[in-house]
Amino acid sequence: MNKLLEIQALEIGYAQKGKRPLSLLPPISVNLCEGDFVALSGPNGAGKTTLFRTLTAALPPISGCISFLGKPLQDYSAKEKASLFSIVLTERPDDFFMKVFDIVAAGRYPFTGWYAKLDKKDVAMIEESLERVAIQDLAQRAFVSLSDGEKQKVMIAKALAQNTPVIFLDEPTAFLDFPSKLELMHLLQKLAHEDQKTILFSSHDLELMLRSADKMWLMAKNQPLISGIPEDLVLSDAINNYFGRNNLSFDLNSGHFMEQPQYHGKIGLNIHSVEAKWVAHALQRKGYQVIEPQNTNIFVELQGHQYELRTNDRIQTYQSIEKLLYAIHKIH
Amino acid sequence: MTDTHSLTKTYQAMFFLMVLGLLLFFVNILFGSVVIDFQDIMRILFNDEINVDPAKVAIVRSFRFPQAVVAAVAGASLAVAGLLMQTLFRNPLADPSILGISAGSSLGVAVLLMATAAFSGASVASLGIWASLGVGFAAFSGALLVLVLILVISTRVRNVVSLLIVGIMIAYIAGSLTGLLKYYSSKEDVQAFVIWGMGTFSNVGTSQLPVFTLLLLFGILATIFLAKPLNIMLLGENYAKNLGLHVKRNSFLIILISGYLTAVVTAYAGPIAFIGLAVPHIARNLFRTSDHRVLIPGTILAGMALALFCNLISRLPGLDGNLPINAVTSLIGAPFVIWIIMRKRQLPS
Amino acid sequence: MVYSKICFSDKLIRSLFSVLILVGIVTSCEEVSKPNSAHESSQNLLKYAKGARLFQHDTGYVLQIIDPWNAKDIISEYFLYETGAENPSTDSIRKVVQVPVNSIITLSSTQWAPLVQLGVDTVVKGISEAGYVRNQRMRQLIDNGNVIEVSANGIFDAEKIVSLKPSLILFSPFTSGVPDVLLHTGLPLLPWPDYFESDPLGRAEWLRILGVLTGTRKQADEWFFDIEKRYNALKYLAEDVHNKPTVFSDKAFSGQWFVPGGQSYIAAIFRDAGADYIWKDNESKASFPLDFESILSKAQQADFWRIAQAANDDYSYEQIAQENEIYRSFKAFQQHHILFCNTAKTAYFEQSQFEPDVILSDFVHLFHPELLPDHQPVYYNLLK
Repeated sequence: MNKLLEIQALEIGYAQKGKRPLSLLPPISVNLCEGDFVALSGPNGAGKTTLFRTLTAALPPISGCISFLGKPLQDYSAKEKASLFSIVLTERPDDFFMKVFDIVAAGRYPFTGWYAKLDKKDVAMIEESLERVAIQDLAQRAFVSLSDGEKQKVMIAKALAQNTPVIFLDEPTAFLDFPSKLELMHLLQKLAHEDQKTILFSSHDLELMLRSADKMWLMAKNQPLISGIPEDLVLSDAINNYFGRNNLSFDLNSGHFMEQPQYHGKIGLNIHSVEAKWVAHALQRKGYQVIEPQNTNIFVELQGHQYELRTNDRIQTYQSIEKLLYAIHKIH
Repeated sequence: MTDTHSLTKTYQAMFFLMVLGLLLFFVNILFGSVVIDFQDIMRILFNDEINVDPAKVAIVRSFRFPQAVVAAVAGASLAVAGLLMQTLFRNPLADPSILGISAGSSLGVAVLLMATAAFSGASVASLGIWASLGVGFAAFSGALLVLVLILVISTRVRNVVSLLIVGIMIAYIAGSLTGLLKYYSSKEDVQAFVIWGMGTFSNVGTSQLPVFTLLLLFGILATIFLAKPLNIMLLGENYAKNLGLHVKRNSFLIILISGYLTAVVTAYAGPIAFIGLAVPHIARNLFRTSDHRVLIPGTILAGMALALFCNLISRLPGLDGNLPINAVTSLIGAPFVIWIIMRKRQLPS
Repeated sequence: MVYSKICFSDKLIRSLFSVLILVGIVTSCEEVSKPNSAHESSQNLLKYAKGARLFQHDTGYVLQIIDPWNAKDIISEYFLYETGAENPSTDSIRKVVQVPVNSIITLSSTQWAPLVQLGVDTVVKGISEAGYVRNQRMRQLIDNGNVIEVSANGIFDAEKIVSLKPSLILFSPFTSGVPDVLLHTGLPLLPWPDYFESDPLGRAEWLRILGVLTGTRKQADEWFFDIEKRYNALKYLAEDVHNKPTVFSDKAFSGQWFVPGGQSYIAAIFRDAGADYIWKDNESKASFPLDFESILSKAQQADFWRIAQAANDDYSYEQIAQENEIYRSFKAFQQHHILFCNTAKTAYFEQSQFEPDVILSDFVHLFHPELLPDHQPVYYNLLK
């Protein structure tokens, strides 16, 4: 595969007055290839934003080298950089009268003259970009009137109109509802796989990244950046090492982070139906360990939509899980 | 802008403003505190004034015509300077005075008025030059001083928000220095300062008119070259940088041109309030766009029209003498802006 | 420009000139000094005024107005040639106006008031701030439309000024120079800094210039010398009093108390009326701002307190105290020794400048009742 972006021994961080610059993590060496769809992730404070700003030339590196197509980033002019990579940020234009078309057209500005006159090719490119993210109907709408998901698509269309091989997105799913998140991930995936765009997006939504990203860059404060496909990272326990905290750990079974449980009781339950699964869910949430029914003298059994609580001496029937939980609480 | 329908509308609105401006210009020449009949006005305008009272000729030639030109050009300059500031700071409350440039010219005038009095008797040679160059020069020097300061600072600060805060702080400093000077000066000098502060379009004589007009036209024309950078800056600084724009260099140019326009207008006409704040809003709402290729000419034309209208109101026959222009601009402009905002805010579609 | 700066006073020019002759070289200074001017040999006609010089000439007068802020500079110089005489050619320094003038715009009440008294008020075509005019005759002229208001609240109506076609405009110079609007009229402008005179007789003497301008020199001179005689007599009367009461002046205005300088007009009146002005040793002619504490510490024990301001008829000690409680602390307040001039009910602004003798009588009467027991106060009286 074609190497687009090479990062060698890159140290990122901030300049400090009178002191040597503050480096956030060990030198980074990693590559991006054509068609890569990479998620940059790590807990808050890991340096995601700093790396993002360094890669987009908004911040100078402390040391090391970022090179696009074999040429160091700092050797590109501002205009050349504009045709190298485009960005999608969490900040958004807020002018009341700005139309969707105007914003996508801004992607063509680096290639127009002093008066920003759009020629036929520019207009065609803008329309193509709008179609690619399926918002051609919104072209004459006011940007501020759109939903967050639509706004994000507009900004992606702007990046497409800029026609750069690389697109950097900073927290693209931050303000979206869950279906929009999935839709957006799907769109980015498509752009990477079908249009051969190289896409790097930062996020702290781990489940979403595991689900969609082809590759992940994991960051944590003072730890080396590691790169790999999500499944390898999960199995090598890297996710746990980088994201885990004292009482939180990544559960390989469910693919979720879970709190280290501290049980104050054991309840027997046979989990072989959907209902039983949700009863177990409720019990665990309330701090009861669910075990095989034969190992305990308190256990729950499901009779259709009724819940039986059996103890040594008696059987009680409840109509809802809520009432069942209340009864268990009283026993303990 | 590819939409032909909105393009036609834009041309219509532009044409409407142009006709309105010309009409107001003519009405400004027609009316004043002295009644001159229509035929005489036409004779004077067409150089056929043999039978016209020379005093009337002088009134039209030396006062009404220059005053109308000054109102139009100053109105256009302040309006477009305001648009530049509002876009640069992405702040609808920004106006040409926001960076302390008007406060700087006030300080210049205060220094002139009060220093002349303070050094009375003492033979300060430079004072003679000061006094004869007058208020305009003092106002321009003060404005220029602040402008240079702001420009130097603009190359050092990280972003425009910091710059905005620095500008407002400089305005406060200049304002309080002016206040201090006023505190320590005589009633007469304070009175002279207050009158200067009310602003007027009538201070430019026929001899200075070409210079005034050329200086401002030069600045106004320069804003056309800012249309593209301004459009990009609407997206925010980070996007603008990614689109290959030299944000600092362009901020510098925007401040330079806006400050220059404000400094020249203030030097000749005093601190004219409100036009720079209100007109960009009027233009945005009229053209319903954020595209500066439309907004810049639109703001220029709307600024001309509003200033001419205010000038007309301030000199209406029946009103005793000339009302201070600053009172009129706010009195006319503020309700107008409120009306625009209160109107059902229909989003462009 | 009216403000053509000539940086040489007569004296300086004369001494320079003699030095040049001694050395035996002739420089361009010869042109500057105008040796052919009549006033080189003739005497300044004005006795007390410091802000103007008036010289007689075969066919008219030379009038020089001195820069109020820099006594070395002449800000305006006119040749006033008499009707019938040949119109002398203009030069770059001196402007020319024919006298008597037949139409004049006066932008201060002290410029037209003497003209009413001299019976030549018909030359007045325009005035400023007509709303404040008290003089009956002038009110009548305004109401009849013979006199037009051309400036209100400090803003000039250039169109009206031009349409009146005046042969001369008298204006009060500001530190900021000549108002631009007046310059653009292209009409002859004469700065009139009479209010800078700190000598009461000097300030009154400007009426003599008005006499020359309007062809009533004889009447004006008689009028002025009468004032002079009466003033000096009163001054002589109060000169040898043993007991000089202490006095201070004014009160805070918009939060700022401007104290008249020790060399000011009112300080001179106090001195001539046989009173001891608290700030008589101050060297300023103008008023200066001072804080309450300093004023209180110096003036608290003063015998009299002079206030001149516009007020209603019922203005009282109570009202003064309501403005600021501190005023109660002054002994002059407690003893009801406030010498008050209600500028809204007297012709203080228009007329008092030409009646320094009357003002002086008021003060002599108030400070030393035994000297003028029968005087009826005109401007100043004890506040009730």
